[in-house]
Amino acid sequence: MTDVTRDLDCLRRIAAGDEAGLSELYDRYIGLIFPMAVKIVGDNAHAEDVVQEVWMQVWRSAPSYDPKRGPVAAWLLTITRSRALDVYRSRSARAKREDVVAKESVESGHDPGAAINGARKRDLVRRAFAALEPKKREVLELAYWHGLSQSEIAVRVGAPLGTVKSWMRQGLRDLRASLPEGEWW
Amino acid sequence: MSEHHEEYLDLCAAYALGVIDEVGQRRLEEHLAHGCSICEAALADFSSAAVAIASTAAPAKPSPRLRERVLAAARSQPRAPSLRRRPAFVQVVLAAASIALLATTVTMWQRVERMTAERDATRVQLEEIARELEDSKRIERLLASPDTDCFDLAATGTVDTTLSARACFDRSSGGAVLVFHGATPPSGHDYELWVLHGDHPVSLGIVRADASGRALTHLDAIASPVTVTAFAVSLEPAGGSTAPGPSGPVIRVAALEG
Ligand SMILES: [Zn+2]
Repeated sequence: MTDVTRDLDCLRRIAAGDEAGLSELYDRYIGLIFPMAVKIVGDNAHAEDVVQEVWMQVWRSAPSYDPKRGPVAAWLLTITRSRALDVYRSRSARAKREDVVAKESVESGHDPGAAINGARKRDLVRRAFAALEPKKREVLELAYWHGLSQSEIAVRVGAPLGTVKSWMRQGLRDLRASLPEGEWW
Repeated sequence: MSEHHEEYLDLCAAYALGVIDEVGQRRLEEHLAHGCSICEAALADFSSAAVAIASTAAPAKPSPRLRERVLAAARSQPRAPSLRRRPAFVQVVLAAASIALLATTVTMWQRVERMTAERDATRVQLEEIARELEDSKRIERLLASPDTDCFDLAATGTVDTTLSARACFDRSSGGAVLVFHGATPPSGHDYELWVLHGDHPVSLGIVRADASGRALTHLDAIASPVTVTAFAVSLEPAGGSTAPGPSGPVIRVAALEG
């Protein structure tokens, strides 16, 4: 089974109420969605609440996943991001968001090969992202991590809306072009 | 077919980054509903890039207890929506079914007329018509049976769709009739009907509608009717799913009480 069909199979099983499908998908993607939740909400405890809600939403709405709109990973991240931004926006005291100290830990029970492989991929992506033209990188960050709309970004960076839109589009395109073909995560 | 233009790519970018507004989203969904290979390719690329941005977040691990917490929460919230008997609703379904039957009858009437005019009606064609008439009699009997349960296939909210579907199912005989309205899938796509036994989907075939988007599927006897747990419709590439189950989004579903 390819990654794509494995993901679809999990969602099909989840839709049928099969808990094992949820557990399998959790293990495959927790390493991707948890760091994102932490980065947006600022701490592990709130991030765990976010992640719990994310999986409950997946559990309830697995049949609503549409493969034409992007891969399963992207769908999960969309849900995570929007839940995390809700929490972030609603918190009165916005803790200063700092990247959690990178701990590339190889805990017992984890496959060291997979961890190293994961670190290598993340490194590749980081470099691709850092290599983007600064303006394009900035609009992508403002949109993705801060949830700003295209017009809010235009105000923030002091550029015409049309320009912001094309930076965003080109930024995504450039980033995609510098990544390996197919599903690379 | 809504024609592609550059502006849709901006909407695709905003969609992939999760910053599309409601108006934009509606416009994009509408455009995509008609099928656009340029936008579909862009969405795939842009969402991969969005995943890349996500994976630049510093690594972090949740407590090992989170996993159990999630699974326990899922266990306490059964997924499949349960459907109660709604006797009053049967009337509505019967009305919808007779509209579909009327349409079938009209079609057959027109065919008989045409064939008479052509005066080359073959025996085979006449037999086919006779079979169709016999079929509608069986449908009427199924609908009239007190053992037949009728229900709506509810929208899952996956895809904006005009499709509506109602089913009448007799668990004792396995007889089923399903009526579809607005069954006009986006170009290059088909609606596929499924019956679930437990969590195991079995295809009941593509929904073939007439020009007005109406379709009627009659199944004399679904195999092992006792284990049927749900009926569902999915949106598939033209010709239907090549997988053992739905490959596209499930857009209508009705779960049955055991
Ligand atoms: Zn398009």
